[in-house]
Amino acid sequence: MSRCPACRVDVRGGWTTCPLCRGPIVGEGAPAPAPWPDVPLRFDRRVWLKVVGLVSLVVIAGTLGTVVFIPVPWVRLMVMGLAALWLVALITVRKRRNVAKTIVYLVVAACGLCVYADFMSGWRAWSTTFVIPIICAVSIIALLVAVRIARMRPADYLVYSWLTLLFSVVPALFLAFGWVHHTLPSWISVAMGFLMLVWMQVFHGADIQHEVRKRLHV
Amino acid sequence: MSDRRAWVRLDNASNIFLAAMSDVDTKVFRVSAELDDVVDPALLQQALEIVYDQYVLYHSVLRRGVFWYYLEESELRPEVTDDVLPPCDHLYHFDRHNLLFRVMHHDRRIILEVLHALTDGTGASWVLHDLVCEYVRLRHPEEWGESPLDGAQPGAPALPTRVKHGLDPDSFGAFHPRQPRQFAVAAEPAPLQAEGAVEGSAPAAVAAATPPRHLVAHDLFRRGRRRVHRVRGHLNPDHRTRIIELTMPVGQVLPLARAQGVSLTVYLTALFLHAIRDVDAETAAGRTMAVSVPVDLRQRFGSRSARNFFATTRLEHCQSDDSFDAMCTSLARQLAEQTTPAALEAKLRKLIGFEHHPIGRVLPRPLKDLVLGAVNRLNNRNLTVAMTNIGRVSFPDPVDAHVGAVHLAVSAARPQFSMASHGDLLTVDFTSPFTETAHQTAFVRELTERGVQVTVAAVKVTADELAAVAP
Repeated sequence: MSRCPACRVDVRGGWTTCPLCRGPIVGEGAPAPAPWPDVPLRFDRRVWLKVVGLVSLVVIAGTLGTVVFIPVPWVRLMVMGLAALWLVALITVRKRRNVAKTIVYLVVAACGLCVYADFMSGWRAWSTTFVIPIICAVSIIALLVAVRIARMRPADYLVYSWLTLLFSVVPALFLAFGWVHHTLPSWISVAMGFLMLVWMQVFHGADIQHEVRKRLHV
Repeated sequence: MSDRRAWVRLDNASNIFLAAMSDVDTKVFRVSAELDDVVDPALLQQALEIVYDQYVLYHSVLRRGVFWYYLEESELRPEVTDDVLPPCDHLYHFDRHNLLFRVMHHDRRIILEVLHALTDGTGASWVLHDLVCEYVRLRHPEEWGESPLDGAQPGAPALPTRVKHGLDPDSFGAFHPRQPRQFAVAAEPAPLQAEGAVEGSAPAAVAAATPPRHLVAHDLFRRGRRRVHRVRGHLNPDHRTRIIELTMPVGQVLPLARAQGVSLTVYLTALFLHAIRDVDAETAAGRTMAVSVPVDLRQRFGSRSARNFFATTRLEHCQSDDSFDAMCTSLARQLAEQTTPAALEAKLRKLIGFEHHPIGRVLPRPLKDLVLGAVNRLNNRNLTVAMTNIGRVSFPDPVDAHVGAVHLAVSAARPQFSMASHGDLLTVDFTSPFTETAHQTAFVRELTERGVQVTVAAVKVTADELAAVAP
């Protein structure tokens, strides 16, 4: 048994100094085993702080440099591209455990960015005519495939599927307000969304109600 | 669809643990028991299977709704593992629907780690108790003869196992998965379960008995008037919790407390505050020392809920008289004042009111987290240390002889200590997010100077400590 004469305590585990006062410890034979293993450090926060600080400096310097040396319209495009990149990275990393949730977030982010880009470039309605209806229609297919590949429990994806379907009937508004040059993409999205919604209501209506009630419980 | 599962919303009192959870303070605590022999993982797994079926609450996974977190029954089965993680490591991740506890073993020790949002120390100690009993029964079948485990020993406390969380032993019979009602009852918030206990009495009398200075808002904003001393330090490099575990004979410490005329809880709390005052003599000068002490409400309100059911008391010591004797007397008096039946009832009323609060109910969950997190931070600023005591843990006769020390350790945002005792062994487990150990050293030296034999074990937290290997 090891012992710290200064603290007058017996010490368990393989310590070379007293775990309390850091003074020398004495003792014969092997020390009594520690009640837990010595788990190696997973990271060191001081190292991390240094890395994060350095990276931040580089990013800030880079941004300042860009703003000074590159013409303004290009900067706007680059900033949007970077924002989109980070948004997608953030969503896929943060929501990686629920692919249905990831799809909902990606649809919202992509549609939002496109509307913004369309608006900034003089509103030619390309986002409402093509991009949003196509994203919505494709997201339905993506969802059908993804939840099967990921073998998800219906309770985990039903609400998100339902949300995706709701989004895909939104282009009906574009049609109603005449925000489109070609009506076909919107019609496809609305038809797919509507049919799937009816199908879900018939076969999973009660489950969706159960899930929604659980999540909206006040 | 067969996939519909039982769920119960998480009460506000438990919600605060999630709001206060951080990288440093995982809100996970561990209860562990040291046996007389190296633990056999296969037998422990068998014991866990049996106990798991009895504790429906532990089948929960934690999920997020728009307004509340909720506990949902799951079909996961727990697995016994080696103790390979740092103590009190994270148990909850918002998108990882795993069980809210883990059972581990190391050498002669059986370890149970639980997320505080699920239950408190007393609730978890029941599970550890049953787990150890089942394990010893499987390990030493020859000592049991024909008698089943729940033929409780005369005089021994009734095993909570068969009670199924506040219900009569036979009201549900054996466990069957997917019995929504069974889960709903097990997971019901304890304050709401105990609501009937306070309904009859007059709240006016209670209000009069409660010292007005313990109102929440008053507590939170008093910092401006009287500065509370806070312990500072360097955070552990990978945010793990440093446990410093002290084991000592009850028979040597209890007489010391008796000589002061106070309980063990008060004695050791005073000793720790005294040690901090000595070490931080300069920074603590002129400041109030404050400690939070939780009080179990189960006994007072006849509850057998396995959920969180405690109220916190806040004891403080000001500068006027700095002697250890004065500290003991003052802490004991405050604790007694705050744990009278009337004061506890007021605390329970507050907990219940908190659950029914109309604004609290309609506040979306992320905002709730923000508000509760802010409340918690303000609260922390007003505390020097925290302590908790789960008291004496005892096992039925054939098991008791195989069990040594029982420990409780709680993840911490500031230094704190937890007490537990079994037989003649008292354990005091300090936990701290800081690498420094000066306060704990001063505490231990005060004890050993008074002739108490203390054995110390500590978690290694820095690269240097981990690199240095004893010959």
